[in-house]
Amino acid sequence: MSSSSEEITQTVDTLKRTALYPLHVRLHAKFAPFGGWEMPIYYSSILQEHRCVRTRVGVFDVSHLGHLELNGPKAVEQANPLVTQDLTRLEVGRAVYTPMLNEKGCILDEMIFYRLGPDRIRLVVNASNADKIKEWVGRRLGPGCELADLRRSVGTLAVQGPEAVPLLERLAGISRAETPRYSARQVTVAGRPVWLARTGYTGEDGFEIFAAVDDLTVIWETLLEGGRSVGIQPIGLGARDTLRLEAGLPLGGSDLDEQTTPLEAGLEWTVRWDKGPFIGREVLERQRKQGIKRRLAGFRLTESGIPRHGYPIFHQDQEVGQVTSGTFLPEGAGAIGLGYLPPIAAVPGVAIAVLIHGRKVPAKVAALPFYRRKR
Amino acid sequence: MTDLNQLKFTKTHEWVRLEGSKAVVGITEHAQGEISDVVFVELPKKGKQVKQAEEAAVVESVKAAFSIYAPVSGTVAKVNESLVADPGAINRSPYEEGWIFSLEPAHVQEAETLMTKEQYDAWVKGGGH
Repeated sequence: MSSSSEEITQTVDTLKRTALYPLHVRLHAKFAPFGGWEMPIYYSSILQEHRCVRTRVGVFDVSHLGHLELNGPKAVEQANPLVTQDLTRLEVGRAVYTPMLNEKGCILDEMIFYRLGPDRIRLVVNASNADKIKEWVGRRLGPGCELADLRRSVGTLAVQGPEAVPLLERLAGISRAETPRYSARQVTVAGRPVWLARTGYTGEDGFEIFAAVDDLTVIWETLLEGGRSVGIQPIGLGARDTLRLEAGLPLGGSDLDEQTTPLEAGLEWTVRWDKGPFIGREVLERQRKQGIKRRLAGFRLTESGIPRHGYPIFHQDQEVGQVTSGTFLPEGAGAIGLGYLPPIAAVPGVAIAVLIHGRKVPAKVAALPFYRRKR
Repeated sequence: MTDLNQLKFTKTHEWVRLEGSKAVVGITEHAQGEISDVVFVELPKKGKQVKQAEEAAVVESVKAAFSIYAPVSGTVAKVNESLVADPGAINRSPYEEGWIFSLEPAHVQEAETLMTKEQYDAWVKGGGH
């Protein structure tokens, strides 16, 4: 038995481990390299953990995420031209999802900006891109704004699922009304000061908790203990990937890269055309006028098989694109994926096929997201 | 219950059981744990000829697709059709219900090149991949 998947064969010699690594070992986690870190992929089973987050609540160690911070009276002013969203409208205590583009209008990475104070912005970026983003941002700052790298001192736990909000109401003494979606505030959990952000990457309601690395263990244990009565479980990155894919959320490095613009990736909603200049703007304006040649689309296989990153996609017997993400879902929901298609084919209902182990497996383009939580 | 001491093991985590003129093939308990959540099995065609260590089947989990190699050379005699509807049998019962295919071995003595249960366990424990 062997797998073609690169992440499994990658060397494990130089990988970083989060502060919770010994706890994951005790929970019998299976590990794999992810973005330079040795991370838990699952504890029980990916499908079972996926279901747990959709129906109850799960806690994830996502301390591989990179925390960078901009501090100073010119933080907002200097960060604003680096992103497509308009940070001048970002109120203190609120967060916004945004791509960061290069001069060609293509996506360096996507990330969340949290405005923690009038002169303080926290960026949470993908692990594999953190060095690149740090350098890119650092080179573009001037007096009045300092860049801090918090990767050694700050870790992140995500608590996601329908029971997440009631759980944190209990453990952090907050009310849901005071912590709306895309907000962040300082609270204490297990007696430790943390930032509690109502954000996530699963399609469920919930929180991301930013804490000092030394406090992660006690917070993790408090969450597992406090959530026991509602069936909380630790969740690995395997289910995080299937959850985000089912929620139609693209992954930087997989669905988004430096050859892709936000218009092609279905992220036009993050582009504030009414703001001032930003890096990549001219290219996007041109592309908006001329039209895009390919667009990220969702699809569902109509026969058995599992689409995976890099598999060719066919439309009317022509190879037109490649799968960028794919998975199998629990509860007989079948196999789904994302991939780039010509706009004419990127329409829900269009018949396509994915080449899987030499066999063209029929599929249908589907509307995104595949899953939307009940509100 | 299968007596695991009667099986032979590959470094690629297949097991083979010689039963008269047939060699039955599956993956090990350790392998099913690594793969997790088997959701799809691509079985070989009956009559297909395979050489030792050649790909004979594909087992897919949520995580990735895994090639299953023939532990010995031979001709595919039977395939476990029940895995089409119930691929999870590989996780639940890797040595019994989860068998994948059987071969008419071309050279039975090839099995002697494989590991015993004890050797395989020691090899896995030593971090063998």
